[in-house]
Order: sequence, then C-alpha cells, then structure tokens
Amino acid sequence: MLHATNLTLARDGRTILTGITLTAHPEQVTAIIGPNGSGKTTLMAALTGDLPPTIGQITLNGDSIARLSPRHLATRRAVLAQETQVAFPFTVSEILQLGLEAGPGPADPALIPRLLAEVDLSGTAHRPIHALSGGERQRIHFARALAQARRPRSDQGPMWLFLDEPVSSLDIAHQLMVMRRARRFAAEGGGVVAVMHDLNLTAMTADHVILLSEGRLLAAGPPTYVMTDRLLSQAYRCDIRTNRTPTTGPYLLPQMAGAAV
Amino acid sequence: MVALPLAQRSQSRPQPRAVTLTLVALLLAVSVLSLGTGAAGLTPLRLFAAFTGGEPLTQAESLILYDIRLPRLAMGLMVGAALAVAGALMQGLFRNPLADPGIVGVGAGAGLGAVMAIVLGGLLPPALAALTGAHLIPFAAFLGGWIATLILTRVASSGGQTAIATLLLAGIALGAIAGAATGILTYIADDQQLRDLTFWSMGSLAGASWAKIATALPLILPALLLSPLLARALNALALGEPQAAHLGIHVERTKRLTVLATAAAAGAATAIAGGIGFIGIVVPHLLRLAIGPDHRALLPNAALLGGTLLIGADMIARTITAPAEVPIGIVTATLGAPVFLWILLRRRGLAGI
Repeated sequence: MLHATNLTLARDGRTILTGITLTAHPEQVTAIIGPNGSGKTTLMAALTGDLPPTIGQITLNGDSIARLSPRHLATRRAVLAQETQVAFPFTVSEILQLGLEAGPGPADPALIPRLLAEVDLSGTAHRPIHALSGGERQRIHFARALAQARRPRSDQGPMWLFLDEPVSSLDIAHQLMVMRRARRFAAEGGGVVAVMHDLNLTAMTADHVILLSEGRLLAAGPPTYVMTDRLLSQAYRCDIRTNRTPTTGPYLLPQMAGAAV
Repeated sequence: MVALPLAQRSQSRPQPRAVTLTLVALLLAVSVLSLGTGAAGLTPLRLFAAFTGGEPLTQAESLILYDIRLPRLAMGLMVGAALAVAGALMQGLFRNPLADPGIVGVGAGAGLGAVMAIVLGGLLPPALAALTGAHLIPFAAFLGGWIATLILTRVASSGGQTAIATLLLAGIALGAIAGAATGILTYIADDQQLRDLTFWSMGSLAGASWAKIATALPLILPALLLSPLLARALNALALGEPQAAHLGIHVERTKRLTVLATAAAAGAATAIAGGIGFIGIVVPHLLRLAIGPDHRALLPNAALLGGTLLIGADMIARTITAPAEVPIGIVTATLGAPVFLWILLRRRGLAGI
C-alpha cells in the first residue's frame, strides 16, 4: 500500500502541492492526471522520494520512505523518469544491468534478452543507447525499471513501479504494449503508479484515477467516477465531453471539446 | 547515419581484461625503457646484463638507478595514475567527459599554494623554513588544492544537496580568485622566483625523490583504492541524479566521496609534480573508446594507462634535449592536446560530449 498524508510541497517559496492525501493499492494501476503545471511530476517526485515534502508524510508498504535508505527503497520501487539522458555511451545491456543490480535478489544477466523482447527491442543488447531513437530509449528505460521490479511480489510485500509519462514518445502500438505490460505487473501482485497525459489510455488502463488541479487533489476514484464532463472540464479549463462504451468505460474525442452540450 | 559505425564499434569492444593485460605489459615495457634511458649512459642492455649475472653495476650506476631513475619512475606512475583517475572520477561526477579537476578549482588552488610558497616562503620564520625545507612548495600546493575543494563544497552545497551547475560555477570563481592572487604574487616575485614559478607551472618529475613520493602517497593511494568502490554509483549517476537515487545510490554521499578522492589524488599529484595537463582528460577518453564507459573497468585501467603515459612522456621530456630537460607539462600538452581535439572532432554532435 502507498499512502500519502496531507502532502504539501513548496519550492523556492512557491507552493506546488497543497494538502494531498491519497492511497494507491497493489494489484492496481493508479493513474495521476491533470493539466500542465498541476503538480503531477512534483507529486511523482515526492512519492518516489526524490523531493522530501515540506509537510506531510509518505509510507510505502507501511514504512515511511523518508526513513528508508536509497538501497532499501530501490528494492521496493522502480522508477521510469519522464526523461533520462545517459551521459556516456553505455550499451543497452549495461543500462539494464543497473536495474537488475538495484532490485532485490541476485542480478541474473540471463533476464536481459527476455526484458528486451518484452519491449520489442530484441537484439539491441550490445548497441550503445545513444544509437537508439527517442521512443526506443524510453522503452529501454521502461525495461530497466522492469529489471529492477522483476518480482512484482515477494515476502517483503508488493513491488512498486512508478512511471512518469511512460508513453510520451511512443507510437500507438508501443503505447498499448507498455500499458498492457504495466497492467500485467499489477495483475501479478505489484503496484503501478503512472503519470498520464492521454486520457483515453488512462480510462482504458487505470483502476484508480487521481485528478490534480493547481496542486490540489480534485477527485480520486475509478475512471467512471473521476472522468466526467464536469470534473475534467473544471480541471483542464476546457469544455470536455466524455462518452462511454459498454465494456471499457469512458472515452473522449478531442473533436467534441467545446461542442454544445 | 552516425549510429551505425558507433554500434559496430561497440559490438567489437575488446574485453576489459585483455585491455588490462595489454596495459600491464605496456607499463612494464615502458618502465624498463625508462629505467634504461637518460643523460647518464646507463642503457637497458647494461641493466639486463647486470641483472643476469654479468658485470655488476658500479656504485655510480647503482646510484643513478636506485636514487634517480627508480624514484622518478615511481613518481611518474603515481602522478599519472592519480591524474587519470581523478579525471575519470570528476567526469563521472559531472556527467561530462570534458570535466577535469583543473575545472573545479583544485588545480588553481594547488597552484596558488605553490606560488605562495615560492614567493613568500622566504618570509617564514627560519625555524619553520628549516623544518619544511624542500617540502614547502609541494605541501603548500596540496594545502591550496584542499582548501579550494573545501570552499567549493561549502559554497555549492545547501541543505545536503550539491547542484553540479553551482559546483562548476563556484569552480570557475575559485579559479579566477586563485588566478588573480597568483598574478599579484608574480608581480612581486624577483627574477629567481619567476624562473622557479615558470618551471613549476609547467610541471616536472625532475625533482623526484623517495621523500617526495612519501609525502604524496598517503593521499594518492587511499584515493586510488577508494575509486573502484564508487564505480557502480558513478555508472548509475550517468543516468542523472534522480535516476541514480531510484537505482538505490546514495547520491549525496557518492558526490562527497568523489570530490574528496579527486581532491586528494589531483591535489597531491599537482603538489609534487606541478601542473601536468591533459592526462586527466585524454586517458579516460581513450579508454571509453576502447572498453566503454563502465567505471568498474574504466577506473583501474585509467590508473594503468595514466601511469604508462606519464612515464613515457617523462622519457621524452628528459631525452629530447638531453642533457637538458623539457618540462613534462609541455610534452603532455603537445601530445595530449591534438588527441583531445581529434576526439572532439570525431565525436562532435554525438550525445555524451
């Protein structure tokens, strides 16, 4: 279980997050949505332990993350950052090896080909990561997070996968692939928290949606509850009309934005 | 278009172990050559004969070997290894292959210390001057480098966080301050002091002695031994500071230890050998091209290649105008700068520069 209580975070005298209380459950995909500048990435940074909150506290599987050493924290959660620039020409397998070594238990290099196959990049193990395209690099870093979180559940409790805009550089096929893999991770007992921009992908994938607006939590709950015309229009400051399929819940078409109700 | 040759090169990377063995062999070869080369006619063949049961070394030859050439070889190895490892550490810390201890003010601080000792050393109380003796300049240079590093971390760190940009800018400011102070001291220096200054600033292994080695080894050896322990953390740091933390690295501790190790290695090396440039930038670069950027292989091999290169450069420095000597800093700059430019040209436009 991931708990954040009354999270307030100020940086350089500016309050970015105000009084956010939220819970994310293992075996679920929790999506954080909201407009640009609503505090999604800052909330993610607080939840992963990058930025200590000014007020409030965060517990992961019952322990305050402020009290866990980086080494221990790394055995409980893996993170895919919004953007990762690798400073030197490391090969793909060297990058994945870093994830394997950070996770719990022995690092088995035999996992590398399997991880690469999962992100549709078989055969790239010995290429320098700089030789890959932006979308391919994003999938490699996703695979690195999977390497670190190779056991979705252990006797230590669930493993957590934090994904900050995991599909931002991906084509539609790979967007679906990455989100399906995240769903499978949850189905296997792990917890997934993802910052999302694509509302349709969110509605398709998430069990639980957290809607932020101006650094505050506007709504939290299942997609059908949060992704309504009223809440989305209020958060994104734009008339949004959602629709509904019988099987997969809400969807929306940008063409319908601003259309008369 | 640039991706293909890069990928092919990386697939044909030699094994780090093979590179290490090659470097050890190279180091041994250069060492033997260096011991058998010099103004006095003691050749490798003569050494070989003496050590395989031929005519034993005369007293003069023994003196040249054990008190002049051997300490010089040991100092070259030590200083070269320290400079190369300090460069590799700094580059890992700053996530930039062009970073160097010279950039963050360690070299400038050490330089100011040395210049102060040369120009103002005469003002010391005679008792203290007698106590420090020949070690005054190296000791002052080390102290200057150390103080610069302490000020640097003090200025650049706040709330347990060290911002790399602030660190770099603080290094530039420190370099300017040290440069200005050095300039003032140069103005008030007399002719003899100016000659000493010039010689020191170009770097030299000419004053090598076992005593000098003994003053620097307690700093350089721990730094060299510490560096492999930082290798995994520096690999993770290449992905960025938050990413390194996600991978379980204690980022602040890593940065502090890396700065300490760099200051110790580079400060002490500058202290006993003066300003020797390019080893710290060229050696890690060449190794990254050969074996890749993994610090676990990079750091120990950098020590080997740095030592080998400096011994080789010293050999050139003391034979090219024999019996006179060229300051070794001129040799490393002449050999190193074109290599550096060539690397820049080849890799310009690629990520990582």
